[in-house]
Amino acid sequence: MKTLLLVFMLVISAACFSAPISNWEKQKTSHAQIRKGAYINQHYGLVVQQVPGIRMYVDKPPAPNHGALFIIAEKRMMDVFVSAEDPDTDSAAQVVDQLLAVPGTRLIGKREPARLGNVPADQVAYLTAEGEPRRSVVYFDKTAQLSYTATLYSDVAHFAEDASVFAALLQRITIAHRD
Amino acid sequence: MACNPNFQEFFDAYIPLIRPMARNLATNEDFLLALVAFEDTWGRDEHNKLLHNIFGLTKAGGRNLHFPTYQACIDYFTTKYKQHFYGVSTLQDWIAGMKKVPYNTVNPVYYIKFTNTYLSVVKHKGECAVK
Repeated sequence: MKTLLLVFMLVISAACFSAPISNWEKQKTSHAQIRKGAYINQHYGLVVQQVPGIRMYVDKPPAPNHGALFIIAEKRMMDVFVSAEDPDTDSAAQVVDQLLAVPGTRLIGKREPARLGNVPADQVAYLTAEGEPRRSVVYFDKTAQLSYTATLYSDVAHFAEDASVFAALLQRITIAHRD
Repeated sequence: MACNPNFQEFFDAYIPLIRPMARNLATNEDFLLALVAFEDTWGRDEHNKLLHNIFGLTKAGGRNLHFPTYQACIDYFTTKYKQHFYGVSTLQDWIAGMKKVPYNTVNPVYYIKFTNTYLSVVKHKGECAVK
């Protein structure tokens, strides 16, 4: 009985700590569904554990399953994305080059080695043409010809604050072999 | 540049399937080839090969749909999503059609990456002198 009561209180506490869903979030996720606990993608060998207090969304069928979206606050979010790369792509650096090749994008600082969960990765921070700051961490699997990218989408006022949430997300990612 | 054999292999395998489909949809075959390249990892996705699912479509539970043949997959896509793609002649309209399915809503750079794949298909078709 005590255990049941404890579980009930934990569930209520978790619900209380989640921010209410804004109209922006409802619109942004109108074709997605909330995923609780962990996102497990056997097809691409990707597991992402939920970040406490952050809602995680995945696409509804028939959409292909390429990753998950995490809403921090209005217009501030993170995603983990698995993408096929051309057969002539050889490195994470080339995938980063593609991110920076979007017209108007400006690199902030320099590229750095980082980790995407359990694997080594390349990290880059940049400003979009609209002046919005982004941070991406990219791992490239040459055998499978797939890139795994986690990105923080924030604004100038919250970038440093959101970076700590993003760091928590990076630690919750596990990349395994494809099925 | 010379034709990379990986691209040649992709075009050899998929153009015979995709060209008649593009004719049925009265659209540019390069949009469909880009979709297959992106969702089937340029024909290297062994799991999708077993499922004959070259467009990455999923069912409830997030699992990929299973078709008995590639043609069954093509027929399913053509019948179910014809209204979004029939007669489309520009990349912009093709992507608008994908968003109506909808193909992806949770990854903000999905359609940027798809566009890169389309440009790669066009470039490598030229290099491999695909007729």
